[in-house]
Parts: sequence; structure tokens; C-alpha cells
Amino acid sequence: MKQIGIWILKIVAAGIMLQTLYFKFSAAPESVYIFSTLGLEPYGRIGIAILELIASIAILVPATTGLGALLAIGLMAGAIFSHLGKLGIVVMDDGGQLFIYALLVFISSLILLWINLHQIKTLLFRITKVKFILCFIMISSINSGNLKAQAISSQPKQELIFSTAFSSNQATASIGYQYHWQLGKKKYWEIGLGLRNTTAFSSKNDYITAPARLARSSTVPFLVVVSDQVSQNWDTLAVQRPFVNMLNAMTEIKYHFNNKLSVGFNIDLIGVSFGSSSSSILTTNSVSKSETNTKPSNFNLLLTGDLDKGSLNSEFFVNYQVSKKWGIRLVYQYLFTEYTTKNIYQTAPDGTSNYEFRNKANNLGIGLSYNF
Amino acid sequence: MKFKILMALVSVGFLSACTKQNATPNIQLMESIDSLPMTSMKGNFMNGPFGTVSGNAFISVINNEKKLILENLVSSNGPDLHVYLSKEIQPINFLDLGKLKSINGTQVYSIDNNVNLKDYKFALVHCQQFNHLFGSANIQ
Repeated sequence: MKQIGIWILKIVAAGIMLQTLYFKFSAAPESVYIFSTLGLEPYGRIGIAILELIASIAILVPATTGLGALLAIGLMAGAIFSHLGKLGIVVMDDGGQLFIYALLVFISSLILLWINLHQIKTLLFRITKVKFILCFIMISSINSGNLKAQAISSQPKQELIFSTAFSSNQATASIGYQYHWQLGKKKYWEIGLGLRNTTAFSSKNDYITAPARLARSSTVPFLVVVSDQVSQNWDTLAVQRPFVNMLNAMTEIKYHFNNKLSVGFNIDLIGVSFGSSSSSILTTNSVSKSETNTKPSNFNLLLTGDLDKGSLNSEFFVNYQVSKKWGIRLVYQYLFTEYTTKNIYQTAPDGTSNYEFRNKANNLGIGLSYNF
Repeated sequence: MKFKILMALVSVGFLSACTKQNATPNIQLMESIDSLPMTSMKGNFMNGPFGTVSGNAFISVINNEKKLILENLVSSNGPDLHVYLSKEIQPINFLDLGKLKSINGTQVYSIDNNVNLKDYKFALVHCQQFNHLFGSANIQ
């Protein structure tokens, strides 16, 4: 009987959170209104939705119910305070429905936490243990940091890399998998080849005329990068809700200062992009045209500078090995994303039509590397 | 304790990193123009499929300066509301006169001088980000 009661509480808490996720992730007007009012749009909306997803799953898994309930209590406390403060109890004529939902989840989670309090105690005990281990790793890394490059192994390695980077209106996450080989007698240099998936989303963003024949004074590979920008040929496409996912082959080059510290650069070479279509607005001499079905360009190819096709990610990084396998990195990301319009197009001064528009973003971030 | 402080710092960083206002202000506006409008192009706002808008829209031309005046406007609020002058009621070819200054009151918007106003029959309050029409006025 008690078990049935617990499951009802779990389903109420997780069920309510899960069914509101759809509205948050799909950017339903109600969700956007709420998070705009709170000044958290769009990252707060997506971030909170991800946290709610984690909390719901954790509540449903018996071993983590207490943790999930704790997370849900935190989230719902935030929601309830927002309703009592800025938002108001009734949001967009919903009769206080969302507020009541938040209260229901809050109370269910409180009971679930009370029943599963032992899980939290176990976790706190484990955190104390991990702290000791971390201290030990730090002390041992200070000692071994002076070892010479001979310690770098000569076997070809496999590596997983994760990174996430941000600017004021864009967020990206990437995961890559690569083989890398050491070069030279002293093996200071490494070169890698692999596959990387990068997801980029942003609030409304400006995309500029992409083709090098219009955007630049030269279309010679490499020279195009330093050639003059022909800004009188540029038109701006405002993509309303950009979301680009790119899967590309990538290459990386890395230099080791010692067996702890290295710097490097990686760049996407060729691949495909996909993403949802967005409405977009093309403005020429203050006259605007709009369409609803602008999509990320499908095909990506590195040809240097504005000759590039599609969406490509590149990163400069500083990597610090915290253990033999794990490294942490600081990342400077230079990201090209490209959209292709369907019905609206730019008529260039030379009379040609252009459907391709590019955004170039500078993002800062952090990452992890894991060596096999 | 350190763990808690770290978590608190991370969450504060998370919140402060993404504060971006998007909704339209709701202060009562009472903007006015210096002299009476020279044209009688005027229309009343009607509700669109995604919002409620009431008030009048008229176009004034003074010293060859074109302005769109929204008189006693009252609009429901939403994300990224803009004022358009559009050829169609669902905007495909239009002029973006900027963000809606307030959802409440009389307000004046400048129109580019080179535009042929006869082509643009509709004044719109439009949610740009989601391509949702809040209200329209047919100017005649």
C-alpha cells in the first residue's frame, strides 16, 4: 500500500514536469512569455527544462529518487517564488494552473525527499571521500608536472573531446572522437583526425551574405582570408530562432610543453548539417521580406575563409592533463553557421541572386578530453 | 561547505549569464507630433490570431517627413513585438519600424523617406521571433 502511494507521488511529480517540457523545448509562446518576463529567455528556459528532465528521470529511478526530489524542490521553489513575485499566480489567463502544478510537484517532492533522505546522506558521505581523492591527485600532479616529454607515450591514441562555448547570444556544445599520432623525435607534436558533432543555438541572430564572390575582393583560397571585405554587397538575414547541428570530419594539431600542458587547434573539414527551419527576415534598403522555412545549409566543406560552404566549427585550446586519461581545456571557438533561404533572396549589385547567408561567432568555453 | 559555496557561485553565474529582457514595456506613453498630420490615411486596429490590439493607426507627412502614429494603442504583451508597415496582412513584404515602444499609449514611429506609402496598406503589431500576428489596422 505504501509502495503504491510512493509511486503515485512519483508519477505526479515526474509526470507534471515531463509534460511541461514539451512546451519549454518547443519554445511555446507561453513558455517564452514566462521566461522573457523573468529575463531568462532563452538559456534559462532550455537550462531549466534540462534540469527538470534530469529531476524527472531521477525521481522515477528508485536509487536516485531522493536526489531527483531535492532537485525538483529547488526548481519548484524558484517557480513558486516567480509566481508570487514577477509573474503573478495567473499567467496568460491560465486560471493559476501552472502555479497549482508547481505546488503539486513541490509537495510530492518534499514527501519523496523525506522518505528517501538516506540517499542524500550517502551522497554527502561520498562527496567527502571524493574531496580527499581530488586533493591527492592535485598533490601528485604538482610533483609529476616537472617530468620531461619522454613520459608522453608513443602509441597512437584515441581521444574523446567534449566542449561547450558561449557568447552573449549563442551557446554551443560539441562532442568529438579522434585518433591521434605523435610526430618528431621528441614527440612534442601531435596530429589528429576524427569526427565531431557540434550543436549551436542562439537567440535571433544576423546572417550576412555568404559567398566569397560577393563578400570579398578575392576568391583565391587562403588569400580570401586576408582580402578586403566588400560590405556594400552585404545583405543581412535575421534568422529568428537559429538551431544548427553539424556533423563533420575534423583535424587537430597539438603541441605539448610537457606531459601536463599542451596547446592546439582543431577545425572541421567536411560534413553535413541539419536543423529545424526558422522564420527569417531579409532587409535591403530598409525594405524587409520574410519567409517561414529557412533551413541550415546541408553540405559543409572547408575551403578557407568565405569560400567555405555550410557550417564549420574550429577551436583553439589549452589542455591540462589532470590525470593520465582526463584533461580539462579552455576553448576559444570560431564558429561558422550558414542558412539557405527558400523563397526570399538577395539581388546582388552584379545582378546575381544569393540564397546563402553566414554567421561568424567568437565563443569562449571549457572542455574535457579523455584518452583511451 | 566549500561544495555548497561552489554550487552557489555556479548557479549565480548561470543566472547572471543569461538575463535578457525580451518583453515589451507597459509604461503609459503619450508621444505627440508638433503639428497636425497632412494626410487622412487612417485605420482601426483589429485583433490578430495571436493577440489583442486596439487603437488607431494613422500616417502623417510633415515637411516631407513620414511618420506612423499609433493612437491610444492597447496591446497584449508578448516576446519581440515589432511595428510593421506591410503590403500584406500576414507580413511578407514590409517595413520594420522597430520594436513596439510600449503596449500602452500613443506612440510615433519614423518611416524611411524613399518608401512609396501607397504600397503599404497595413500597420501591424507583430511578434517577430515567432512570426505571430497580434493585431492589424487597414490604413485607407
